[in-house]
Amino acid sequence: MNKKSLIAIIVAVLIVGSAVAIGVTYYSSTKTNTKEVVIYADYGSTLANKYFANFTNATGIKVVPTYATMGPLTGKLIADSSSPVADVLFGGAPSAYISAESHGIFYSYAPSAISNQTQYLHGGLWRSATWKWYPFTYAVLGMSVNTKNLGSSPFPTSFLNLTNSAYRGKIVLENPSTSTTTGIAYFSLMYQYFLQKAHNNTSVGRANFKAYVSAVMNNTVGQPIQSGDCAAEPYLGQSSSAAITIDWTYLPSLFAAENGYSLVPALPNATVLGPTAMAIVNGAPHMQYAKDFVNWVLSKQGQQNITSVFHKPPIISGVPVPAGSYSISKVKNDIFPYNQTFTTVNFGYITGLFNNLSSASPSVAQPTISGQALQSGSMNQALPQNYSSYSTLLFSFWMALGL
Amino acid sequence: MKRRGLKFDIIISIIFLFLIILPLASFFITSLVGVPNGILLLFTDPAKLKPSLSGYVSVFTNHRYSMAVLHTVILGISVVFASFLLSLPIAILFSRTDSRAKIIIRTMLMISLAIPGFIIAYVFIIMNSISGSHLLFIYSFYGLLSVMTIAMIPFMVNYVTLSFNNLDYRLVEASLANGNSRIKTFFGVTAPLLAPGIISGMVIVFLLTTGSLSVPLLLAPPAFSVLSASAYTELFSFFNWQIATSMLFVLFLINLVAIVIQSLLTRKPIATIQGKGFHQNMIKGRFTKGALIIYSTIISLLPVVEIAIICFSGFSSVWILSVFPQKFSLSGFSAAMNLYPFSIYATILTTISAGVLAVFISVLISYNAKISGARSRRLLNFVIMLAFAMSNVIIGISFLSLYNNQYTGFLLGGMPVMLILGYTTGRLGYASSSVSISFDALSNSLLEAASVMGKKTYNLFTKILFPLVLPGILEGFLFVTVRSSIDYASTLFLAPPNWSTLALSSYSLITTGVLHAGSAAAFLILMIVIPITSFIYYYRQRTFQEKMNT
Repeated sequence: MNKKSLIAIIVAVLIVGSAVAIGVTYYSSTKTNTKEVVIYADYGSTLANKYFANFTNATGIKVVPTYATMGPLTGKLIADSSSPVADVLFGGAPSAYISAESHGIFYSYAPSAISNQTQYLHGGLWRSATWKWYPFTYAVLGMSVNTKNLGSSPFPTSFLNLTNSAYRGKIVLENPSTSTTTGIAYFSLMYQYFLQKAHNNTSVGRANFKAYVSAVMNNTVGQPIQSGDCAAEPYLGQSSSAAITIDWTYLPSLFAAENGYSLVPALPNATVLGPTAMAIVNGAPHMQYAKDFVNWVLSKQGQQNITSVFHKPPIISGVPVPAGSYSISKVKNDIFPYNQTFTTVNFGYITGLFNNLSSASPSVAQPTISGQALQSGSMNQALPQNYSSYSTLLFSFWMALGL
Repeated sequence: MKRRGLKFDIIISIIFLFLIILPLASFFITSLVGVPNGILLLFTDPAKLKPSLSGYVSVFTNHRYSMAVLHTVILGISVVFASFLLSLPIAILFSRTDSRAKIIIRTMLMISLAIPGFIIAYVFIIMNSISGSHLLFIYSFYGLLSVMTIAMIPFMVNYVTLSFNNLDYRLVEASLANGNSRIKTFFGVTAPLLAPGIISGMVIVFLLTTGSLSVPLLLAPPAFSVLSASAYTELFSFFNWQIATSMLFVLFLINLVAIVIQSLLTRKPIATIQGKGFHQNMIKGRFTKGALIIYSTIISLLPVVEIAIICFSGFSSVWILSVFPQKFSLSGFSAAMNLYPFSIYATILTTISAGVLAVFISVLISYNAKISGARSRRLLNFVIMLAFAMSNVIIGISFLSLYNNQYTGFLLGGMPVMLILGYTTGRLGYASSSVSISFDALSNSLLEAASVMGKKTYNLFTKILFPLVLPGILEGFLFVTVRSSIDYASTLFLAPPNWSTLALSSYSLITTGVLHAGSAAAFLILMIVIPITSFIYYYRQRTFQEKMNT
């Protein structure tokens, strides 16, 4: 290599270095002007991508998505909080939003699309009091049943059925530590249920909850699934023995259509009507486009796309509920007054109990309330009178909102 | 020479400061104050910080966390010994026989180096599914042990083979000729000579096992929590930075202890002997050779089976309870590319950049050591050791906590600069080791002669040093590129939104239930890295001492 070559290399390096430096400066200066919105999405990417494409077609705003489960997405948002990268967090349960909200990562914004709040389902019941997050659809928690593997065992009609020994070796559970939408919703629902049954006597409620979880875990096939919210369906669909998993009732049909699994939904009594939320990130680099996005999602067009793409019910009135999904009126008698904040507050207790029971040999003790075994019972039937009244009151309120 | 060495020392120190020292300091501060940008607040708003050791106290007093520490060590040691036992016959075949089959076996086996742990775990999950859940053991300690051991066998084989290749049989013969028994000779001569290479292999396997995140996330049961996965849950489910970073710092210290033990055990000088030439005790028995070839072939077929399963899954849309998919389709590939259109380019660009940067730094270090002697070498080696002990998840969090602020945030959020630097830091130890071996093999007299003849530094480097160390540079570059392309843990933290690599895309797809597209993305990774890995080891075999034996 001679000196000329050396000079040529140095000049090339300088040119490349200068180009990179100019590129960096230009990129930094134009970053906020790019017509795009960065969305962290806790959704199956195939469907969400269609939804985002429809948004782009409607508005001309490009979506840059990152797909993952709720935990890593919110964790990244907290880590990024001093220099945010994402504009919108899309998907996931309110309990996760409540927990993340305390870290100051969400921007308070009342979407103009729902300024007429009577159109917005449940008024202020489900959203953040300060408009830091708000649901855009909902789903009903139920079970996914593999009809081939269920055999002669009875079709489950209540979460309480899952302690029945007829389901020994047939249940797949997701770990609530990592399944922060489905898994935690189910376990928190049961914890809240047993507390209600014990008239909020914590020690009795916890003892029954523990006995219930232990009995259900005694019926599981293998170890709980660790990785996120959507891992149980493929496991169930591909298994030759597993028959039941906890699932949102709109998902079994989707997995059956997409992957050919023999899965059907089971709608139990006393379940969770789980909202799916979104939020604008505090300090979002593309704030205006983030606002455009949430307004589009809550608009009639966006909600129609929710029903056609995700097969989930709309959150505003005037948009029909898709086939295979449950409307509020259909499930109103089966809904437990599930408390999302309770879930957030008790996340540590629930996951700790689950993990401890997973570590120990499961017991076969059955939970009982006033001496009555629960495995074949109906959660609604077993509810105290004041609960049913509360449920009726709650739905009367919703219906009064014109739904 | 000395003044030039001093200049290089300063440049290297600055590089290490920003890649290793400051990120580690930032990580440690986060473990004390519990907020990700603790180091920045230390300078801008220290009143906001309330440092405490509560995270560390919890790690050792909370039963679940302390069990995670114990499980991590148990898993690490178990994988080390399992992979050693399984690798030993293969290493004997490679170093003690003249069979031609070993070239093919080795190339096939080394393909495993290019298969990420999470893909091996996913292959086991697919096998469990198609067998109708008859492999449920995979969701247990034994499943973790199996997957990690399979992933680690090629590393162990490399190091054990190297040890056997360097064993000078003259020393064994001398011991036997002096009347020592075979047992005494084995423990007094053979074992001490083999120990340095084997211990190095064991430590590498231990570090890779304890630092693994994706495999425990997929397979570890709640009853067997390990530090990396527990920290991930603490961070992403509870947003508890203090406990998560304390756990990972404990992991870092465990790894550091392993490295220190290794350096103490391998420091002993090796004896030499004069007279008869270097030779090895080759295996002549046909039965023994045949048995070794059959065993090694079976083990080397594992990566082929893994690739076949991922290939079937990627090219199918329905695969339930049957040996072969029911429906073949390209929809997985189109879905993966539709969702992550830039992922192939992102993978190639970031990993090649990391490879170039890692070998550049390694050449700087080795060249500096060559021209300035051992003056600063010990300190630099110690800093490289720190990088070795930082698992990918630690690198991801430490870079995030240090560089994600209003001043340098664009290097993380807008461009993949920190991702490239993270890859570089994580594999600097391997690159440095490859390059320094080439530099160490150079005779100082060659450089002195060139210097006496009036060659300037530039000519000395380009005309003498560079051509001679090129094999080491190439191997280091390719190794960093391959291992970076299969990285999940640091990519998760450091990749900008539109810079998802194939590994990150594949893992995201698999864990959100989009299995066939996830397999398709995984298959694409393998199609990129397997040819490179095969080339490295084909090339390497030509330069290995074993070539002289065949």
